[in-house]
Amino acid sequence: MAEHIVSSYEDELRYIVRRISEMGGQAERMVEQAVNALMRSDWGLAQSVVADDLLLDAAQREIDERAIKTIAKRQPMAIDLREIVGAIRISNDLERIGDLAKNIAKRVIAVHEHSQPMQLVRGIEHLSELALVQLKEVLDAYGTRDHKRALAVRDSDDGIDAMYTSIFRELLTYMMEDPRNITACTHLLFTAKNIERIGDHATNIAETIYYIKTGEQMEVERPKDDQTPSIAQTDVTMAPPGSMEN
Amino acid sequence: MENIQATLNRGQAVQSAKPIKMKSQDVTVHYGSKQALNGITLDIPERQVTALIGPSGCGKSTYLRCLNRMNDTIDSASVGGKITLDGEDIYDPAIDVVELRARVGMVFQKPNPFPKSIYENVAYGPKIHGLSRNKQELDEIVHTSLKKAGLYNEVKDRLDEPGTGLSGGQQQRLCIARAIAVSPEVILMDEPCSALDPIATATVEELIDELRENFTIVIVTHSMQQAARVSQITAMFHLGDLAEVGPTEKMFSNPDDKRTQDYITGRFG
Repeated sequence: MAEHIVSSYEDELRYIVRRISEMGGQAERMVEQAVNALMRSDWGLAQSVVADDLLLDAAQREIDERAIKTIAKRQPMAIDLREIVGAIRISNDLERIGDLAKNIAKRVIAVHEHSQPMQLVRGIEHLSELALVQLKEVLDAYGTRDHKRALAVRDSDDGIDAMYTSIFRELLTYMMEDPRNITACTHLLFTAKNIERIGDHATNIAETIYYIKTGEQMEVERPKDDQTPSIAQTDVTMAPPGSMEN
Repeated sequence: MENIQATLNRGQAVQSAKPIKMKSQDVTVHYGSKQALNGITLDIPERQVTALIGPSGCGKSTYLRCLNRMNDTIDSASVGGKITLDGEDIYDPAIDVVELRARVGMVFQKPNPFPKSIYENVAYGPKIHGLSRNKQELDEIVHTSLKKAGLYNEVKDRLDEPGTGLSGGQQQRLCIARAIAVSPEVILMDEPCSALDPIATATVEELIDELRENFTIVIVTHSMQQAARVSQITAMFHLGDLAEVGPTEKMFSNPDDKRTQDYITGRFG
């Protein structure tokens, strides 16, 4: 697309877009490090994730302020307006992803005060890998303004939801087997939920990219695959032993 | 060619929701050997505000002037194609141009009140068109027009003072009152706010919105925000062509034509 006649307007838009990409990279790194810290019981790494969240918060506030100033100064239209409103929305989602990563990092100590089956932790690791792929894909889609790729990200969030449901069942079973597992499993459950939420934010970002590019909202919301709200205790107790372990 | 046709079809489909007041078919304008309009086909819906936008020299003012045959006053201008008002060809030789301009009034960029009193400015049109039988009826027309133009309360005690003594915004509203005094059906506005400050602009924009209840309005504006605020239909002109026409909301949020996109986002001027 041609550049704006007013070059400082062009610079302002470019700056906002670049800051979003930087935020995206940082949010991605924080999620990765938080899960690594959990896997390796690395308290130092967990602490650095908690500290990094402040930078992400500051970046979000800066993008907000700059976006509002640009709206006030330039009165952007059409694609420019969508870019700026999109930047506000995406930075908000990235900031939330940072909060979720921080929350995972904060649980590192709590989880490792208790023994826990590696198998469950691996499940969480796998879940985080799925969420990170989503996040990476959606950030690439933002970089290239590829709305088809964004659509694909939205549609593959089902995988994360399904995996989360499976971990939920496993943790429930494990807690019922031995009440001493409850504390650690609850922390892991929150961790899994946080990762699942990261996938949801990636989906939000995908929807925003679609809107920026096409000027239209994505079609109706996809069916959710997180079935945990419908899982009653009886579902778990009545399930044949071992059926939830894999 | 296909694109042009698609644009035209879209324009006509968009406007079919309201009755069509003025219809232009393949309108061309030449100034001497120079072609200024390359065949504009555009419907103006009744009691709506249609905004004409586009970079300077794109033909929007030329097109606006075709709608009440103001181009007739320019010797070198020749108009082709067909323009109808309620189905009647306005370029038909049998048409009385003075009467046409009473039906299709015009407000210009720079307020241009006559060097007469406020009262006389508004009363002039109705007098020459014989719209009143006596002083009482004329008073009624003048007062109503000033009220419709949102100026009455500000000038009611000094109707005998010269119109040129008013502020810029008041003068422009006086010109609007003068235009509506002859009960036109269509009001053409050529950048009516470009010489006004933001407050006077807001007053005139508010007025345009109110006038839409009774009049069909076509406005040429260089302010994208103004077009977005006051109009329901926006037509984008570019180098003598109609680039795109559609509902204003769509034109300013997600236009189809790249020229519209580039123009409204400030990528070329």
